[in-house]
Amino acid sequence: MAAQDQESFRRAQAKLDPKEDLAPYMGKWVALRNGKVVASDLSAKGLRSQPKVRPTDAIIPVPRSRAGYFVA
Amino acid sequence: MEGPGLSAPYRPGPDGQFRPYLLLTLIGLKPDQEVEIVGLVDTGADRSVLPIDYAEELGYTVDDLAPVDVSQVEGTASAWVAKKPCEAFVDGLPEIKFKIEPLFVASLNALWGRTDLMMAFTIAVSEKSRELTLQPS
Repeated sequence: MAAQDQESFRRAQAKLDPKEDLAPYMGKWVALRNGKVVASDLSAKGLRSQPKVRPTDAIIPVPRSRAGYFVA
Repeated sequence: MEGPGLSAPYRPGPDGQFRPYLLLTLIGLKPDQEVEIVGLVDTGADRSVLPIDYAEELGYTVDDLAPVDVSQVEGTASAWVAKKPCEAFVDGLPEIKFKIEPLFVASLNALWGRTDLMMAFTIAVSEKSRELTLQPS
């Protein structure tokens, strides 16, 4: 495996990394543009309906706490 | 892909703790419904689990979901399992696609489980070096 593959994989995986602390948004959905929060809402649908949110913005949830272990 | 696989470092969650998060793109029921989702790799999850808001983002309607009860650390909870799969790939590895029938829950945590992601990849997690490694199965 080429080192180039490794680097491009890591870059792809880091694409949505936030560039600011998301702790103030725990329990909400945030719209990220270039890693910065541009809006937040309690639902993804509500967030998308905000005029300042663009279709290209990343919409991500900010959990309040660590995930549990699902054994569905 | 041959060799030792591709690795990515742990990433911090909103609480500042570093964990094995992985970015996947899910292709919804319509081809233009691509959603990028960051989830925690969780070997304890039988299947992948997503916040319920992603159901609409992926084009699922009420008729596409079946109610189920799930068990978790805190007890049982209500959830909705997708009757139809969507396609997914790991960002950075778009050539390897696999099916996911997500379990949607009223929580904001996304978990990547065993019956979809881990059928497509063998995943190693190193807590010592705080990175995860993917090797196609």
